Amino acid sequence: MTNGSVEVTLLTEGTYPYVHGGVSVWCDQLVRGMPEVDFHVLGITGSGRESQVWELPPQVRSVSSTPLWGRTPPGAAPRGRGLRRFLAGYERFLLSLLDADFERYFADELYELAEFALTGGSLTAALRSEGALRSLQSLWSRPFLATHAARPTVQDALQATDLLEHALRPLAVQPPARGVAHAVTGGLAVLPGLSARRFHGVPLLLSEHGIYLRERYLSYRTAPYRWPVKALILGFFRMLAGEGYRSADLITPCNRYNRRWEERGGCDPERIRTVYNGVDPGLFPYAGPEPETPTLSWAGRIDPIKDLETLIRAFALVRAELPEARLRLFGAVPAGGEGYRERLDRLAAELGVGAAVVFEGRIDTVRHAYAAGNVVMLSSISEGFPFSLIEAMACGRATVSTDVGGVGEAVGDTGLVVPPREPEAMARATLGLLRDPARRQALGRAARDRVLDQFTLERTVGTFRHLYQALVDRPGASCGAAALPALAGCGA
Amino acid sequence: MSATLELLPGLRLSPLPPPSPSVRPAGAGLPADPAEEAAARFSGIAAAAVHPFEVAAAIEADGVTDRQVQRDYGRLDAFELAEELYADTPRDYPEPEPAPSPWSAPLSASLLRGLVYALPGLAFPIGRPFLRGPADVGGLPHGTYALSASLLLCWAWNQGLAHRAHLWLGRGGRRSAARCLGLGGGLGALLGLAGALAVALGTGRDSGGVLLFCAGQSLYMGASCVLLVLGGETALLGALAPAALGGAASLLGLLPRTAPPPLLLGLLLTTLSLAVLQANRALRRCADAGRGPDGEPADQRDEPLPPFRSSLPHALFGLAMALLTLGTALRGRHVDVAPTVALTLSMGPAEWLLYGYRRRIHHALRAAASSRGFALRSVQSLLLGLAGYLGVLTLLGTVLGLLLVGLPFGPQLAGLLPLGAAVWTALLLQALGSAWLAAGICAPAAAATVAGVGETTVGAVAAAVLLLCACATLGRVTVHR
Repeated sequence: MTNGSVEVTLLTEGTYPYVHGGVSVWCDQLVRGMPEVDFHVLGITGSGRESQVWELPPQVRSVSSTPLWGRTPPGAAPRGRGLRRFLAGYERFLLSLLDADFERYFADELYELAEFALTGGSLTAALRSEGALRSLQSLWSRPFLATHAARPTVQDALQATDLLEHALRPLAVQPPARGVAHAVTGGLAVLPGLSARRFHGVPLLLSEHGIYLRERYLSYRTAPYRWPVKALILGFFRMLAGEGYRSADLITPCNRYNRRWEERGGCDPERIRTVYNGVDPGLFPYAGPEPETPTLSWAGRIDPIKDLETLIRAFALVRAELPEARLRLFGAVPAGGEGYRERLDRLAAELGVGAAVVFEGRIDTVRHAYAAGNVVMLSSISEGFPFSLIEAMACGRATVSTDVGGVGEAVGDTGLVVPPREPEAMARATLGLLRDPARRQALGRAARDRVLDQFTLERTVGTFRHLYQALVDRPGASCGAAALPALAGCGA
Repeated sequence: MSATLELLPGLRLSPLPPPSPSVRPAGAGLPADPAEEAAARFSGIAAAAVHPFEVAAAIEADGVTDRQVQRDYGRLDAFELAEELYADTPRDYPEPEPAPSPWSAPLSASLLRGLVYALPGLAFPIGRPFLRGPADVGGLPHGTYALSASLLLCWAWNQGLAHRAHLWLGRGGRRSAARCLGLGGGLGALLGLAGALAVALGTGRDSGGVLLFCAGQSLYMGASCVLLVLGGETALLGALAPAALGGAASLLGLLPRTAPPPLLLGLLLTTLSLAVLQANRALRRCADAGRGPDGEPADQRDEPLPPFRSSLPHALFGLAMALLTLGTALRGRHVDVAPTVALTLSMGPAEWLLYGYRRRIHHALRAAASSRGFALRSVQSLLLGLAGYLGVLTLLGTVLGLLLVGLPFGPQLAGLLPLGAAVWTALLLQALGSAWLAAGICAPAAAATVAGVGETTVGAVAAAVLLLCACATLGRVTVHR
């Protein structure tokens, strides 16, 4: 092993250092935990004029961003033979997104596009050209493709090309040329990492918290696009995910549950290492005595994905048995989420528990939110490895949570896990705990022990420190099982 | 813990689609035929899906865990269930909500615009006391050159200014748009006055009255540019009322030719001050709308505008349009206003017909299955719009020609229609991003008119070239992005 300082480029999308919460917290933990590493951050942003909201420690040497929207990048489309050559490759690229028989073209053509963009060509101008539009329109109207049956129109071609053009903008950014490229989400953030690996032999580490591809499928279900547009853009996200899974030297999902998608996506299981999120137990000490009134507490972002409807319904059932029970919800309503908050208010009122459900708003010291409840709740229908859960566990509180993502792995047998979207099951579990103080205490103690044993920040940071070093020590080598024997400690 | 950006600004996709219909209360034991039940619950999703993964994602998002898949549907996991559903369900292609065409403007609004373009012409009859004096070179009425120079400069400047203001507004920068319009409107007024002054000094025969009129005219044009960009047509019409009514009365002989100059001056000044007042109010409202709720400027992060030279073709185009229109007015040795008034009035319907073209294109993009098919529809739409415009112009030209001058309309139309065809096609090209092309064809045409080539010839040649360019350019799908 070499002892020189390690250089790591974090590749982010819509998170660190421009946004609070979630993946950004994790990035901040990682960066602060390794003062000896030289970090660079390459963030994919929206408009490119987002301001940094995290204070960066000195080990962050540089921050740069590549905006997806913003000003149209300058440059002219190739002409004549150059354009024909570009379009021939582009058509193979499109075919690889639309037809399973041509998927093998994807990687090569993606790197061709990257090379074009990195060697002075304007990918944006080329993709916005009339020729590129005609290529797509004549291609996806061919009878042997699935899109043919959906009768694609030229408007569909315009929309699909626009989506693709924006999605490919990160290819034009200079990828890191040394150290380790660490994509902290799947999806577009992987693009510069793939270029870095292909053109500079920089090892690529991919950490997935949610499953990017799965989320894209969900959000495009209600998108205002016709079927061919959806097929093309989701085909791109699927092929990109596959290329990331196949090419990354190492993939570190934050729970074992996510592995299912990664293995389905073509990732060699040998290159997957689960690295759980961690908390600093010093920041989340024992919460102290429980409140006098039976109280359920919840902390998080007021967002539909947290399925607070189920929580409120479950609470209404609890209150039917324990009329003095209260539900306290800690967390801010994100911009645009006011409608959801109002819906929750109406639901609580309809169920006759309006007065007992209290929206406390944003709280500065989140451990006080956990301390406020006899039982801490989590009702999400989708999670990676939720910080709020392991933080509550560290505080020694008993938890009731839904069986999604890595929740079961986090809780183990130190809390109750119920199926998502089933208020009755959640209410049953909660009532059981509220009526049994001894069990609550035993579970709380066991939960804290479990965190101290398995989910400390120190452990997470230590694992990544080792991974970085191991990747640097074996430049260019695809880290198979044999290549990283020392990493068994990361929970795989 | 998701971290995703949407690919386009303004695109907001729900991270969580609505739950699929539950067929059976949860936990009611193993159903008789799990496959059938799964199909009933997820078939809608599977039919519209683009890949089995989409179905798997939907099953998971519904909160159905692998354990529930095994318990309720007898399959190993969500992926297995999804693949089966995807394979067994015939594809269906649900259409999204049709996007409403953004190009719907009521005809009345366009007619109103045509009116406020043309009505200022009525200020000339009551401006007569200021424009009295010896004839200009070539026998034209006193002050024609100074007035024309001032008008041309203002017209060109304001076209460029309007373009920049629209750019700001398009980016949501209302404060910046207001600043740009306020400053630009003032500068334009000065420019108009300077032009008149230069001509007056050059020819040495214009009176103070002409210069005073030019100053008022320039100021009015700046104010009207502000109001037209910010949607203040009604306010502008109200401001125009005194001068326009006075002018109409004067033309109809209701106002004696010997009416005292202070009365006429009063009418003009009322219109001018009303216009400036309304423009000022519109600017303040626009700037206030650009403030955030906390009073802080909300558009600090406005995208930078393209360089000034991107507005140049618009200014040049405005200049060319002004020259072409004035060319019709300054025919030979006398000012022949009927065709000019017809052209100016027709600008309102012309805008409406441009919207009509874009509306048809909106539908054509969604109906055409090939680039060639689209190009054909584009040409059809173009010809339809042009025919409509020429119809309007014929009507206006005929009516005005007969009413105002009592001239036979045949020869007038021969000059007016080719010019109109060129003007409308150029406007279309300009509106669709080919400002340089439009300016590049219209500027030489305007130069030819000034040099003395007959306007029928100029109009016909320009119209033919513009039409060919428009058919070629606007048949491209990407122009309509």
